[in-house]
Amino acid sequence: MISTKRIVKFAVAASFVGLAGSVSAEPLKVAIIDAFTGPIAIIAKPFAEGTRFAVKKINAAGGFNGQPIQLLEYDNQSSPAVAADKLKQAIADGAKIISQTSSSAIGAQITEDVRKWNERNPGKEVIFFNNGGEAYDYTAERCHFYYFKLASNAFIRYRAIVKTMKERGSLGSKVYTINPNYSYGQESQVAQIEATKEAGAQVVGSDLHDLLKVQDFSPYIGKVKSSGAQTILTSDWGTDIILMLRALGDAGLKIPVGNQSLDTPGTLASAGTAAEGAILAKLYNTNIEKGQAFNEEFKKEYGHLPAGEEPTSVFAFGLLGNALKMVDFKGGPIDAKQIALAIEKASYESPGGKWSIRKEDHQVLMPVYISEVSKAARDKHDGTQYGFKIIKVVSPEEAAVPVSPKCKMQRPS
Amino acid sequence: MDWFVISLINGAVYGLLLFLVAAGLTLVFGMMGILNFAHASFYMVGAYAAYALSSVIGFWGGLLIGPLIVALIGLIVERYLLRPVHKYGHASELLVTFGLAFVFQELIKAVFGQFLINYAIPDSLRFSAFTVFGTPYPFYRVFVALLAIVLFVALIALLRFTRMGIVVRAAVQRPEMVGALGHNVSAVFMLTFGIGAWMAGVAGAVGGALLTTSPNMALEMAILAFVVVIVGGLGSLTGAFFSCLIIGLLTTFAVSINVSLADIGRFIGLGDTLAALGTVATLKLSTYAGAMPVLVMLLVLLIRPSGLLGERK
Repeated sequence: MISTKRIVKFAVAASFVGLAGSVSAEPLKVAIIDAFTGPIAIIAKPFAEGTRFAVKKINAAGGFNGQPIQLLEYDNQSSPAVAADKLKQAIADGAKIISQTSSSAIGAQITEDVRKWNERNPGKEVIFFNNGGEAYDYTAERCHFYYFKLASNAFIRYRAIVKTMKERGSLGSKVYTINPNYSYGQESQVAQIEATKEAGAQVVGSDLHDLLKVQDFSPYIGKVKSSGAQTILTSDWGTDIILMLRALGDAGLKIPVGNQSLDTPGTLASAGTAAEGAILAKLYNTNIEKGQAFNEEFKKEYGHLPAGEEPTSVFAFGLLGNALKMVDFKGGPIDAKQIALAIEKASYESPGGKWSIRKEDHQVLMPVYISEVSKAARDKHDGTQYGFKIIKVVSPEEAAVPVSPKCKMQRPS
Repeated sequence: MDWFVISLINGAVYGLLLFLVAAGLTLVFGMMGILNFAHASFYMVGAYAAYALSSVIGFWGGLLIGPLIVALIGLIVERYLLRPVHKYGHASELLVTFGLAFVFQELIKAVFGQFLINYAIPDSLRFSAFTVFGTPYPFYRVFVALLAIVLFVALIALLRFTRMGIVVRAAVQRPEMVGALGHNVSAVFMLTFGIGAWMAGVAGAVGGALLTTSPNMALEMAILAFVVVIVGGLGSLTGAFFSCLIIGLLTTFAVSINVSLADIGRFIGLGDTLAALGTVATLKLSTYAGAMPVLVMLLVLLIRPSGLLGERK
């Protein structure tokens, strides 16, 4: 005979289960595993600001799955080994979306670790949402279904730069390339040489140097001078590009430089007058007319214009936000596969053009803004008298480079 | 030919800047046996102090007073952090200075932020000293080189020809005897350390404007400074001077040499074999120009461990 006491106990227990069911809405956790300390922290800062800005906006509009999106931040201390460790921690903490931006080497580590985790843990997949990091092989040999490249790559940038310089007549017939000797620099070298040949010019010299170790760039400038080059293409960043531009200025050599890192905080201020006339390919330029509202909104939040890579993160996570609107887990557990399928179909209207994902290799298609370091730009950068004057806006279709034949993406069943 | 001359000048200037940094280290490491990992931090603090002061009293004011502040810090460090640890041996001294290096880096980050700051060469020094085969050579580099030479001569003179210098050298070799003769050996050591710190401060004040100023600059210079001291010989200022020049010249010349091991191998018929090996054998020398200092150190340690002109073992 079941006693009344037992029935009451059972009823109470059952009601708790019912209550528990209604508070189990899983929040979406996004983990930023980036270099917040160390020599490359300078690169990560603008990306992180953009991400925080975008996630805050999504949460202000209601978040996802009935909960605000949680942004977890982990410092990888500019080291791939630490990054691998933090990735394990992030996954253990329940993150479903991983972001890393500042180093292609660290990103390579993370994309491989994510791929292996997903293979070994079906049903618990995580997405590597790469809103920075320009290596091309992420969408070539290393491509996999749960990886999304929300940034450009060396081929997109240098093709756009060289083409525009050729159209303006400032490319000349002889080009010299100088790059740091690691994955990103080596790829940039290949991209620069390819783009130069496509434009019908000749590469008269190519140099790879130790990353952030060279104190004196004058020997390299000496080589450039004796080669008779009329343009320098370089993917150097941080202290490297500053020292190189200074050496260029010291040598009195007035030739245009094609680069993409002059908008990193502190770079333009330290490079000084030597940077004038340099050409960059940016993924957003604050000087476009349609960008005013976005510029103001960002400035209100962070006290400065989104003149660096902040917009890359903002638009990337804006696209994620649009993807999230397409899935509904009704408060239940989050399935990364559904989110990934939604991201493939999602797009985002940035102030200057549409961002969308190419299904074959998960590379984002977006407009590229060829800009020139000039006093004539409206928005000044880094406390200097220079800003990034827009020379040309290249449409997403024109900017895109073909899918790499090396990408063999295995789609989930 | 013009490539050769320009590389010669650039290499010499680079080497002399290295000497500014390493001279203080040689003095302290070589003559007193104190392993000072924080020496490069003095270099960094010198740059930041000069930067902070230059906005108030101009570049020259910063150059004059900044290193004095670093010297003061050096004196305090020696008196209160290193002196109590002397009796525990070199390992303990190394650990103290190692920790100090971290502390300095974090303090700088806390006060000045963790990104590059714009410590620039003053406009009054931005002109070209002379032209070499049509390329203007910036005066500031010549200034740095001359400063290094002047300080080298002054330091040698101080040690060889002044009474204080003799006392310092004697105190390093026979501290008890010198103490028994009535000299204040502790004060002598403190003073030497302070001079070493001062030199690092001067190097920072001029080098920070020439190169870049950021919390990571200490790390970049530290390794080079130690390599120079080891190659030159522990205890020899002249040795340090020459090793700086050698390293500066080698690094600069290596950048312009686009040959790889495989290319050299071609002369003796081993070209294809080496090329097939790939990686290191096909790398151009210019790519590992940055490794030149360490390669030289390796060579010296293998052939002549006491360094080029070293006296200690």
